[in-house]
Amino acid sequence: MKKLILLAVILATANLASAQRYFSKTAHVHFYSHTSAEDIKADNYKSEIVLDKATGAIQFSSLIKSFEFEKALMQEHFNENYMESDKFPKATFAGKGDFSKVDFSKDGTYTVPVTGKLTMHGTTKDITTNATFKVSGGKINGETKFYINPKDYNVTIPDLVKGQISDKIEVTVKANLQPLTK
Amino acid sequence: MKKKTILIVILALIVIGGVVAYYLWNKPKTNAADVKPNYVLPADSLVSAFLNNEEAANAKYVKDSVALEIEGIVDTTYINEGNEAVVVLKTALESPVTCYFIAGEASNTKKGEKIHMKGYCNGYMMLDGVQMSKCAVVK
Repeated sequence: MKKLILLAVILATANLASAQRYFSKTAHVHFYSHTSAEDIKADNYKSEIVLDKATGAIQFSSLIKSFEFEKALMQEHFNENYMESDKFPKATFAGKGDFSKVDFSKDGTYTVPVTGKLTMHGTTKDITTNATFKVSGGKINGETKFYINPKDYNVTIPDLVKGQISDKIEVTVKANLQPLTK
Repeated sequence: MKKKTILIVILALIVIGGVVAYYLWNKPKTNAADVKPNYVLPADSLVSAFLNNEEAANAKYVKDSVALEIEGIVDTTYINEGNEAVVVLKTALESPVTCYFIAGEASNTKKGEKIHMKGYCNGYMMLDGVQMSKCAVVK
């Protein structure tokens, strides 16, 4: 019995040691809304991701007020009227990726199917996408793209500007990942 | 004569409206340098407020109408990919206060310096700690 416990402990520790976690606190989220009337884009260069290659768990978060627009007025409207960032300051994604075919120590390009839940503006929806990881000379760059409809997240767009905001907003995420050592 | 006056008034209103709309649309982003802070507190107190109760801290500090002045010691400074100057204020807690300037503005601070920083609180992140935006060093 004692031996069994010892074995279990050893296995658990070995498992822990091989658990590889990676992070970035300078992940870039870009969104782009295209309509014939107007193109709107914004960038957040201070989003965070932590991913655990062993379990596939992916945690991503962005603060809404950290999205920068070209025009101050647009940024105000985004925060006050649409995202209500005083009430809902953070957007999060919690999901899983299949990293079974990925070797972060070997150069190459890996495609990882990702599914999870995106929460913003107080609403949670399922997201399914593919993420691409490019490994080159020890550097790991992750990237993904997906589309969201503001309506799905209960973001109300007044009739007056309906033609200016797309119902298919392109979201691009880029992150330069580093091993997490703590 | 009267008709002419009315016409001139309407025209003037249209022009004024247009000018106002133009300026509103093109108004620049402004930092917190000239704003009177609603709260003055040390970096540690701000971070601990978020660690104790993120929801309560959000409700108190994350508001467009609430400006903060944070006292702290500069840990690191850098320019990020978005051309924003970043000043990290160290704390004795597990996460710092990370202050972001408007893109293109210089922070003019150095490591180890004790400063007062004004800005707006964007919320709490696991690694960055408290994110502040539109920052300006209090002279």
